[in-house]
Amino acid sequence: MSDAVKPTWPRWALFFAGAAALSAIPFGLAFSHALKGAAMLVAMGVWFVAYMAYVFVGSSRLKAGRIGPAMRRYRRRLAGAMLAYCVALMGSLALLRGGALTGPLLWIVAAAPAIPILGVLVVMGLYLKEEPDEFERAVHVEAMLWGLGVVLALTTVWGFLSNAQVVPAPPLFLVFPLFCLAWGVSQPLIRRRYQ
Amino acid sequence: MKNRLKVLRAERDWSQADLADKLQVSRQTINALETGKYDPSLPLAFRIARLFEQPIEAIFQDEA
Repeated sequence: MSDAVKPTWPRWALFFAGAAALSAIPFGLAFSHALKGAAMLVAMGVWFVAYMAYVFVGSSRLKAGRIGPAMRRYRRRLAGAMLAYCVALMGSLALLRGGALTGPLLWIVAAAPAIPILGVLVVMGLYLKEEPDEFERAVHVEAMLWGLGVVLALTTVWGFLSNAQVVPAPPLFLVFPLFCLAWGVSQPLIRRRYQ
Repeated sequence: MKNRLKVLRAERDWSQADLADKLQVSRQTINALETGKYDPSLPLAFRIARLFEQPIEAIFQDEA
């Protein structure tokens, strides 16, 4: 039997090109001012769900047969957390828009979108705990360290730049997506080293 | 660490996927082990040794 692996990078490239095109939609909507207020919020909600569906279905087809039970559970939990995030974010933005909230309620509503994101951290931890394949685990841990390294490097440089008022203060809510991006990008590079 | 996994597997006419199934790991793990770039944990090394019915040091060679 052959152990040759068909090159999958052209299909991955197509997948990422599609994801990049989908990512451009919210910027297009925001800059064109085509939609306003509640319509914009609903459009962003629809876009978010469509984007998630594209990423989950696309990656599961590309990884066909290579998704173990622990990874499947991780992906299901992640999808749930991301949907909860979408709902919490839209609800929070809608409630904050009125500007009528004060005191502890304002704090809770403002921080609500962070709760599902903290859930994602728990989901990541559960995956590492449940993954039976030690090599997979090692790749993920190493990729997380790269994610952490990228986040620390960028935010430290940005922090000093903003101290000197060369650039505005870093948007801290973007630290987590940056970590996820660096984690995801480093994975294929780490795997290549073991081939 | 150098190892004889590829030879042992070829002797039994198993594919990487067959060996992966028998050891309950992913095919990528077998690939990383065979290239010698990933060293297995002690429990996995024992599982491999039991599967091929050979002592660990007959499968893995420490270059020191």
